[in-house]
Amino acid sequence: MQVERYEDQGTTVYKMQGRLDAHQVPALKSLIEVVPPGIVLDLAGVNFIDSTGLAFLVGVNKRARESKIGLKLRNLQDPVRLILEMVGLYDILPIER
Amino acid sequence: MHLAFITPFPPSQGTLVEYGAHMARVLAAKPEVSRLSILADQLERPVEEPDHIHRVWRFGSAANALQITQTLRRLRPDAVIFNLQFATFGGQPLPAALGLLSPGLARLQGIPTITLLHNLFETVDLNQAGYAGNPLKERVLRLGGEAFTRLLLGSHLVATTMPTYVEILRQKYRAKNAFLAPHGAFEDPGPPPPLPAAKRVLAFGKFGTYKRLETLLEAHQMVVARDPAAELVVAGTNSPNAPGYLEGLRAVYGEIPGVSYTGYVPEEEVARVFTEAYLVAFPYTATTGSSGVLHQAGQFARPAVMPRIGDLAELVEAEGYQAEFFHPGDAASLAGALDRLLADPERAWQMGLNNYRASVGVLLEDVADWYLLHLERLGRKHAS
Repeated sequence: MQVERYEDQGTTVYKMQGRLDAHQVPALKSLIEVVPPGIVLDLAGVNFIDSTGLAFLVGVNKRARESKIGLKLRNLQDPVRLILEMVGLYDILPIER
Repeated sequence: MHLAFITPFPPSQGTLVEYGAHMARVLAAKPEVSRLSILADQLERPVEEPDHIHRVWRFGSAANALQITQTLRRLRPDAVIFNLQFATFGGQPLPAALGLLSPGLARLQGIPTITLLHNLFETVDLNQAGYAGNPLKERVLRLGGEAFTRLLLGSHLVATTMPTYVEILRQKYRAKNAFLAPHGAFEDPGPPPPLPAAKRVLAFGKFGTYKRLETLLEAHQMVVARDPAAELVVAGTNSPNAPGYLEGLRAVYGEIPGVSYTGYVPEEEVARVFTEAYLVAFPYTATTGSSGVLHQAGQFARPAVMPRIGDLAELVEAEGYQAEFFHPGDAASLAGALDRLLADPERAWQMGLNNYRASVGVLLEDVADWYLLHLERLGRKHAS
């Protein structure tokens, strides 16, 4: 998983590329910082997500909410969108539409 | 949030009791849950328990839905989670089915309700699972099962642990309230324990219906003929639907060397039993849902040997697990699969590590967050 971090109008954007799965998430957890005023996870380069990846997104969402920090998921690809829909998170997680 | 959790609960030994106990533990620890009420199954001999455990329903009783409904009316929780499979409330069709009315009745009380459904009638070989004696009876049961699946869908949300179950609920039943939720590892097990030197194969569970040991014992006989140090440990009890199964098995296969039977494994012994095993064998002839034993095997970094049947193989792939597969019912095929791992500790270890990563990637406490997110949204919808 490759992660590029940059600032965009005061928001921290993490542009992710690769598989969001059990093998990548442990390293990803130390890379993604939930920092104020908000972060964006740009998933344009993510075409695979498994249950560990989903739990990671739920965890980031939880941390952001607890810290009152904005979170957006951006550029969901169809395979990821379909999985989020199947697990009922598509209408719960803050997805940019 | 005052959350009610309806589940089989220890020291009961019913199916799903381990999942229920662990889920109750993680839910109680969530800051969002200010109060947890557990509506559990009655015990043959009552024991002293904390006040939040209410023993209000009984396996095999036709009045369980009524008892649960009355208790919910009295407790007035903000939300309810049911931990169910189709035979949670009884071994016979009528009490089993009547109990499954409970989630719909909870919803009728206006309580946000999620049902975690561990299996579906459609994917269960009822004959093998001990619920039918002939095809006609099986057909009748299946029709009844479909009717009660529709009633279960009366829950606000129905979560299942298998993608195929969600597809069935959405396509066949046109359900819009079904979603997929991961099974989750019961707890963070710490670093993966190394494989033992002993070539010990573990079979873990409740045996006699769809978990049958005949093929595994015959395969072990072949393995032990080549390697006298090989061991087989059968850990667990008879299924409630197959009394006397293990005793009958020992009478027939008692001469095979290297086989031991542990009987019931108390929770505090589970880690030791898995850690002392070199691999975990799944002697299933059918499946009735996601395998808790596979998640436990993963939690303790153990490789798995599984039959290539239906949703078991799908679960392995979908959740990132690996297994050595064999042809169901074929002892030689199973012996071959066991041999391949027993003869190659490095491969067995790598498979175990893979299963460890797949298992600990999603902890039950993560899954609980998932449910709380759904309940929060239901609560908001309910309030508006």
